[in-house]
Parts: sequence; C-alpha cells; structure tokens
Amino acid sequence: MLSGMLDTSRSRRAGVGLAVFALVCVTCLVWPGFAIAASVFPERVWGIPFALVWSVGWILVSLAVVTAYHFASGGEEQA
Amino acid sequence: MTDSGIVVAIVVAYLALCLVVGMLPGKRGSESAAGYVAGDRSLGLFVMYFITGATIFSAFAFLGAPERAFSRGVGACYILGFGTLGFLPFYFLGPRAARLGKAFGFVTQAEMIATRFRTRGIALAMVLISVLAFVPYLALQMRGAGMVLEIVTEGRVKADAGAAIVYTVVLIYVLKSGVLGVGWTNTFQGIFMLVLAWVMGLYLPSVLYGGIGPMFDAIQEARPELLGAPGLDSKGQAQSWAGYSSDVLVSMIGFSVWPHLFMKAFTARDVRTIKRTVVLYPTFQLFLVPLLLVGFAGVLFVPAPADANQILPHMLMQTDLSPIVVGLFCAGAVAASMSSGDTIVHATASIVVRDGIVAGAGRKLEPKAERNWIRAMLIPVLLASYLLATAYENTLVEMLIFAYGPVTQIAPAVVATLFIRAATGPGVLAGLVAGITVNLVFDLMGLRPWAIHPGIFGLAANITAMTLVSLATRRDLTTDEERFLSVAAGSAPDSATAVSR
Repeated sequence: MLSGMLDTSRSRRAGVGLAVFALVCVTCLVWPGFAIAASVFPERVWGIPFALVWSVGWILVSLAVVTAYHFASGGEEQA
Repeated sequence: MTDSGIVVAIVVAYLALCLVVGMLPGKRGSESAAGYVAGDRSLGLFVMYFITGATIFSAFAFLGAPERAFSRGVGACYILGFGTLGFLPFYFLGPRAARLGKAFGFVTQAEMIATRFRTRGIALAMVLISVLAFVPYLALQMRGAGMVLEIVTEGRVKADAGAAIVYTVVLIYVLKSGVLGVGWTNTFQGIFMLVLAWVMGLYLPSVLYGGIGPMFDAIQEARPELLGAPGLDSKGQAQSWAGYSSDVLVSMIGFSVWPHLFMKAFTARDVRTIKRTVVLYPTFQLFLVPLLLVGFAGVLFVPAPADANQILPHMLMQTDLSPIVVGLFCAGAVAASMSSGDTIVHATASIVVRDGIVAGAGRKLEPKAERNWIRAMLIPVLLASYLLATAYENTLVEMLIFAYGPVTQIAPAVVATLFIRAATGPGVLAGLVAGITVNLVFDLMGLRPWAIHPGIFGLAANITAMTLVSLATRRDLTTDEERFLSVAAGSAPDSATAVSR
C-alpha cells in the first residue's frame, strides 16, 4: 500500500513537471519567448541560423523530458 | 537508356515495389470493418512509429519544407516548432481512446464522441470538418507526387497525369489491404525516406557550397533577410510574430486530433505502444532538419525553379548526380506523398461511412457490407482531392496551413469527450458548429486580423459556445456516460460489456 502511495505521488509530481515544461516550451517556440531569445542571441550560432538551432534544441529537450516523464510516471508498466 | 529514362525506370520500379508491399498484408486482416479500418487492433510499436511518422513525412515535408526554407528562410522553422509538442496530448488522449475502442468497437474518432453524447449531429459535423480538412491535405500530396513525375520525365508526363498514376497505385493497395497495407508501406517508405533526407540534406550543401556553414555564409551575404527570425511572409516581407506564432499554435493544437492520426489509437496493440510512439515521435521531427537545409541550398541555386514547390527535384535534376541517385531521391519524394496520402484517403472513406452513414444517418450495415462501402468511398474521395489538386494554385505549405484551421476545431470536442464531465452533447455540437463557421468565414473572406490564423478565432468561438451551451443544458450524467468515462480512465471493472452503443 505504501509503495502504491509513493508511486501515485511520484506520478503526480512528474505530471506537474511535464505541465510546467510544456508551458515553458510552447512559450519559447512562439512569441514572446522566441522573440526575446532571437533579440538576445546573435543571428547565427555556430554558423547556423539561430532560429534553426533554437527550434532543434527544443525538439531535443522535449524528447528528453517526455522520455523522463514516461519512465517516472510508470508509462512502461501499463499494458 | 538515357539518364532521364533511368530516373523514370527507378521511380516506376519503386511504385511497383510499394504495390507489392502494400498488397501482402491484405491476406492477413479479417473481413470486418475493424479489420479493414483498425487492423484488428494489432499494430505494434515498429509499425505504429512509422505510420504516425508518415503524417510528418508527406509531400509537405519532402517538397513543402524545402519550399518554405527557400522562399521564407527561417520562417520554415514553424514546421519544427509545431511538431515539438504537437503529439504530446496524444500521450493522454490516445490511451483513453484505445480503451474505449476495445470496449465498444470504435474505429473512428467521431463515433467515440457521438456515443458519449448520444448526439448524431456531432457525427455529421465531424464528417463535414474531416472532409474539409482532408481533401486539401490529400490534394497537397497528389500535387507533390505529380510535380515530381513531371520533372523527372522532363515534362513528358504532366503533373496532373503523374498524380493520377501515383494515386492509382495507392488506390489499389488501400482497396486490397486497408490499414495493414498502409502500415507496412509506411514502414518500408519511412525507412527509405529517413535515409534519403539526411543524405540529401548533407550532400547538396556540401556539393554546392562546400558545407553547411559556407552555405549560410553565402546566404548571409546575398539574402540576409532570410536568416532573421521569424522569417518572411508570402509577399517576401518580414513576417509578424503574431502570424508565425498563431500558425505554430493552430498546428500544435490540431496535430493530435487529426482524425487519421487519432484513429491509430484504435489500431494499437496496447496502451504502452501508444505511449512509446508518442515518446519517440520527436525523432521524426529531427528528420525534417535536412530537408530545410535542402531548401536553403536552393536559395542561390542557378537556374531558379519555375515553381518554388519544385526546388528539391529541380536541383536534383540540374546537379551533376548519377541518374540512379536522382531516381532514388525522386522515388523518396513520391514515397513521401504516398505514405501520407494512403493514410488520409483510407481515413476519409472510413469516416464518411462509419460516421456519416452508420453513426450519423443511423443506417445499420453488416461488417462485410461496411467494408465494401468504405472501399467504394475511396474513389469519390480521391476524385474530389484530385480536382482540387489540379485547380488550386497555392503552395503546398499554404494548403496544409488552411487544413489545420478546420481540424483544430475538433480538439475541444475530443478533450470534452474524454475528460470533461460537465460537457453536454448540445454544447459540443454548438462548439463544433461555431468553430468551423467562424474559421471558414474568416478564411473565405480573407480576414486575418493582426495576421493571426483564422483557426484561432474559430477555436475561441468553439470553446465559448461549448462552455455556455453546456452550462445551459447541464444535467446529471447518465449511467452510460458514467461508465463511458470509467472505461476511458481504465477504472471500469468489466469495460468490454460496460455500455450498450
């Protein structure tokens, strides 16, 4: 029973974390987050347009976060 | 054989191979509509990954993404932006839909919604919205395939005839094998396209400019306006952040509820397969990056293409490449069109029959008759899309952006069905009608205040109408609705017999 409660609590924390991440991520992919970042960083980073680096970066971050959420919330345990 | 002959021969051989791969599974599926539409709910992670990935890897990706980078510069990053989290809602929607599908035998999104609210009008409204979204999306795929054939045959096969040839092949294997044929051709084509995309994306900048960095140096020198966020608009002027952001948001909201994508929840073997597919989905987004590089490589390419949509095949045909390599690349572009087109035509026909004729009009059909009706419906769906493909002049990406307006209007109804206890049938129907009406009025009248996508205004009207009408018609949940929601949440003890439809 204790382990079930711990699992629920862990899953809930993971859900809150994912929701916060999704909000931040969306904000950074559109106005105002993207606009602010585009005004702060140079137009090209490592020789590549900043907009492209920024967009690819968020894909990689979201891949990592959603994978972490999947394991933390017990997604692998459900048949 | 001439170089052009070799290229054509490779594309034709590729089409023949797709036909064989697509026809084989027809022997395994059951004769029922569930077999034809939902693959007897048997698809595992490998096929699910590619079948959902094919929604990204379409003619839109292979031809539209390079076109967008070529003509709008970094404005093309919108394609990466909306896909980053666009599929995430499916992590939560998909498993609920899958449980309901298993319990009640659903194979389409609309019949799931109409069953929760016992409102036939919802099914009919969903059919209308689905057709409005799918026909331009399918037309886009056809135009892409036709363009490639026109270029590789050096104009001997016109784009209209090329589209007809490719989609005859699609029609044959979808008729024969249903979703199983679609799944296996998507897997085969997906692997082929992923490899080609990266080869092209690295090869073209290297051969034309000496590498990716030097390519952007050259663009910075000659066309610096293409590299500043958020890129250019359709008139070649600096795009507004409102326009860029609303295109990303509408596409992100609509992405998970595309009926043909959503229906895959009913084809999956289990909930874990759906969740793993969502987790892995962003890897497909990464394969769009080389296609954007191809578009950037075309910016300073001489001679420029007659039509920006043709930038990729145009460069391939003009670059000193082996005809075998060009043939493989062109086959990849055709594959991209087919791998999405087959899913869409199959889904549209299924929706018109299951949601329009069975759920909407209330006509009872035997499983085999239903399967035959769906097969018969493939032909008018393809014809309508073909007519639009030959008549519509806009770019491939613009066609997709239009399609996202109607499809986004489905999102509130899906969320309400699976999660919101207070939602009512009249409320959901009012939302759908208000949303699609506002979206279409804004679109058809060319109204785009502050450059915001019409789908956003439709969505605002949709949510407002759904909320107000649901409040006005609020009542206690029926026992069937209680059980419906319990099955969706996975908490019903005997979900298979929980609710009568």
